[in-house]
Amino acid sequence: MALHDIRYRHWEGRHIGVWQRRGVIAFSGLRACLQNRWTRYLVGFCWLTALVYVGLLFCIGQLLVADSIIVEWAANLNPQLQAFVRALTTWLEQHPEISVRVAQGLLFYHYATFLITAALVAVALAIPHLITRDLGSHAMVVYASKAINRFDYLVGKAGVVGGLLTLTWLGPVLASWLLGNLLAPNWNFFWHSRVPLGHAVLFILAGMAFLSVLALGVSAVSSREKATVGLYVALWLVGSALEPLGDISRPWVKQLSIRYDLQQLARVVFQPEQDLRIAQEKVPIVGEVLRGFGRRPRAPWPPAPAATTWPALAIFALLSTGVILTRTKPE
Amino acid sequence: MSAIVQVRELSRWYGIVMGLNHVSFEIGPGLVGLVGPNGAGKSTLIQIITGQFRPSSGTLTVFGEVPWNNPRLLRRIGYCPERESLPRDLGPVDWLHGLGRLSGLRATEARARAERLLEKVRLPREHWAKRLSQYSKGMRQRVKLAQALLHDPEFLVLDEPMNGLDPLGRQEMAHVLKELAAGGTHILISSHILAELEALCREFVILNWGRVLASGTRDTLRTDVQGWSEQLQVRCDQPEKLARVLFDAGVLRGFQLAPEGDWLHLEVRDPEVFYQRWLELLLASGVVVGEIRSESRSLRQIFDKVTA
Amino acid sequence: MTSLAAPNNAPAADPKPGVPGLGSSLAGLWVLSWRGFFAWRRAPLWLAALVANPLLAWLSLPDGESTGFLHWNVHLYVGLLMPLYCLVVCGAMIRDEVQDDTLAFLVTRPLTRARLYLGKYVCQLAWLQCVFLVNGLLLLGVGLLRDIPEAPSLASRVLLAGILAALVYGALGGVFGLLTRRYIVLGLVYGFIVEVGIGHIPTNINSLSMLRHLQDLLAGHPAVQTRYDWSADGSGTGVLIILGTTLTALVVGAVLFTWKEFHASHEALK
Repeated sequence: MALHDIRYRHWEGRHIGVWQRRGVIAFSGLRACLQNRWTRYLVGFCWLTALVYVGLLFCIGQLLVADSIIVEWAANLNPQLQAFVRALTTWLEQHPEISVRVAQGLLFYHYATFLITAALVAVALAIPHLITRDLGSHAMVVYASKAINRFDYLVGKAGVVGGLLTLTWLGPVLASWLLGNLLAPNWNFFWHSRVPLGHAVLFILAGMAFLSVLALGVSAVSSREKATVGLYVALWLVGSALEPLGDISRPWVKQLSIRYDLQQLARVVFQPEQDLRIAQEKVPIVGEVLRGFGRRPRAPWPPAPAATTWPALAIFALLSTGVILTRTKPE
Repeated sequence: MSAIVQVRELSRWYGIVMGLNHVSFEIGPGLVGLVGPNGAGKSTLIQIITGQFRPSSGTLTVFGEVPWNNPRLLRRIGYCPERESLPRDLGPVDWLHGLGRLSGLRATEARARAERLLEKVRLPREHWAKRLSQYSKGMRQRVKLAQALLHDPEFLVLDEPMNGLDPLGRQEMAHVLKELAAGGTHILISSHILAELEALCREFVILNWGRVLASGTRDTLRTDVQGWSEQLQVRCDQPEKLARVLFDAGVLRGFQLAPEGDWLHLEVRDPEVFYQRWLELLLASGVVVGEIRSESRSLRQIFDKVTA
Repeated sequence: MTSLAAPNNAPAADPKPGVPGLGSSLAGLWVLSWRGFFAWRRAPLWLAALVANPLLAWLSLPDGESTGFLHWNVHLYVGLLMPLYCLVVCGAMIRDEVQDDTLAFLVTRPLTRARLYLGKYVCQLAWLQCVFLVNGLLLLGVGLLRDIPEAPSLASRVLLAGILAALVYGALGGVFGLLTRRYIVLGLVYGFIVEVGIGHIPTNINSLSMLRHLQDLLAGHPAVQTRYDWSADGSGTGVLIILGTTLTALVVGAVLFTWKEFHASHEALK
């Protein structure tokens, strides 16, 4: 058999679909990202935190059933504490739509926002692999010579960020939900935790879309890795440093922080203040404690600022889109 | 004149990768060619000569001094690297001016010399205002050569200087190098284009796998190579007859008639004897010779032989 | 063709250059650097470096808002932007040459590597001082425009802090740039551990934080002292420590650059 089939003509062969071509760009980019050991460590760290939250969900689940190991453990400590816990769990058991939803709502709000930092670090690690190196190595010419257009290229590159954020953000949250509810005392937990899950997925997908556009924009600014990573880090650090200034000067200054914007987006989507209000109003004894918490001069959660969050994100996204379209323009 | 570069038991490793492996040789004055396939260790050797790298073991001296961090010696060496990278935001005059100041020239002198050298390397004046990043490969090679000549070095080290030049550019570059050599500048030049090196250089160093396989003039290289045989191609009107005459005279080791045409390939037994009797035998045969080629004298053949 | 050969084109009036003096090498490096700083291609970057900080301060600070102005100058400008900019500019001074594969043109010139390194540092330092001077003056202008009473008296201290910050963070950035191509990450790690971490914990080694000494210097201003409850007692010692650290970092950098080999191929992106 010949080493090469000299009759082969690639234009006569079967073509793969455009989504597969975009997928090739995304997967090769993702593979390149994961070759960096710091990216792998980050992904590992995120999945470890998922295990922690699974543990927390397990404990919450055990709190919501009578005769659970937590109740027994409480009995060993103090019989009066056991009576209190038993009374509480009996009430919670009768109102799973409140107990499961509120507890998991607050937990997933916390987890999804906790992972924002990991997501921002992941984007910093991914930025060189997006457009920067293609600009530096003139790989754009190679892409342009293939059967893809600029949109396909950008979708593929966005897939790189999406893939990495799935590994560091969406994946751990979904896994913790799944495992946590598998370890719950009954199957109703899946049903009653649908709203927190929906909120988490909605928030993370919106955050991923925003970060993808932002990462592509920053990555397209220069052909130098140092410049793009430096710009992103500066944007992040300076934004974070401006956050406290917003309290003493003009409030819009806070919106210059990407992290702050994402946290506000989480509040818009999760609306944790509503969960807290439900807990305050309906959960016996615990509600009393939380009411005291809410009467402090500065409430822990003022109303979610949807009116300023969406425009701030939109402005960042628009600026990024402008940069992407300018810098990846075919020669 | 004594050797310009002296290398003793030189080795250079990059981690577990070997760049140069325990080599000892000398590079003499004049135009010397450094020959070897990719990965042979040419650039490593050049980078040690120009003080960019240090040997892992052994010694390398240029004009009797160690090049690393040695300004007194570097003043005497000019270097033209292989890679095309040049500063992005500078024009050629500014770049050469800056490098000239770094080489110890006064400001006016540096600028004047920069302009003069750009003219000498035939970089058209209309391109002087452009940034170096806008230059073609050939133009970059010219500017790189100009910067190597800025401080009037005694020893010029050129790593693949012909890369990217068109045939006319190569011809001009060769001319410039010959003139420099004639003016007393010693030049070490590495290249893949053996035919051009052959036309330029008097002496060669052949490297492969980090080892020096052979060094010397083309003639000494040929005699040094084990199992070497002189080979000739002769175009004549009666190739069979000529072959028979020469073979009967016992001067040939073998011959081959070309399947078509009038070419005869000869493998000579002893070149000295062969060339002594060649005319006499040719006249005796009565064969009319149109052309004679000595293939075995080409650097390509020597190179192929020693790297085989 | 005109001859290029040495004897023909090097008449008596055009003698062979010797080893360059300090002035000549600095001038050469400046010529090679300044074009890079002011290249039109980089105009957005240097414009941002010069005016973004004061412009944002002007936009975000209301009239008469002294607390915000102090916060901006002390925490954002001196505490974050100055170190970050020094790190980016001086970290790149050798690393950019390695990554662009143009270092060979410099290290094969007849000057010691230590002098080359220090010359590069001086060039970057000159640029940093220009940027900090312009920023400081523009911030003063913002303070005056916004009717901040402390602005004129604070300006001199901010300008002095800029001079010292450029010296010390530039020298440290240079060392980071020699150590690794991920010098920004290394600088951030250093910043979080030494400047923010150790500097804010009362230990025997918190003097390692240069920011702490810069804050001591700013604390000489009564408004800063009152607002942040800082003491200006150690500002003289602080300046000495900053200068000493600068000197140490420069020596380390020069030794490192003299000793270290740089391979452009190792800079291949991973």
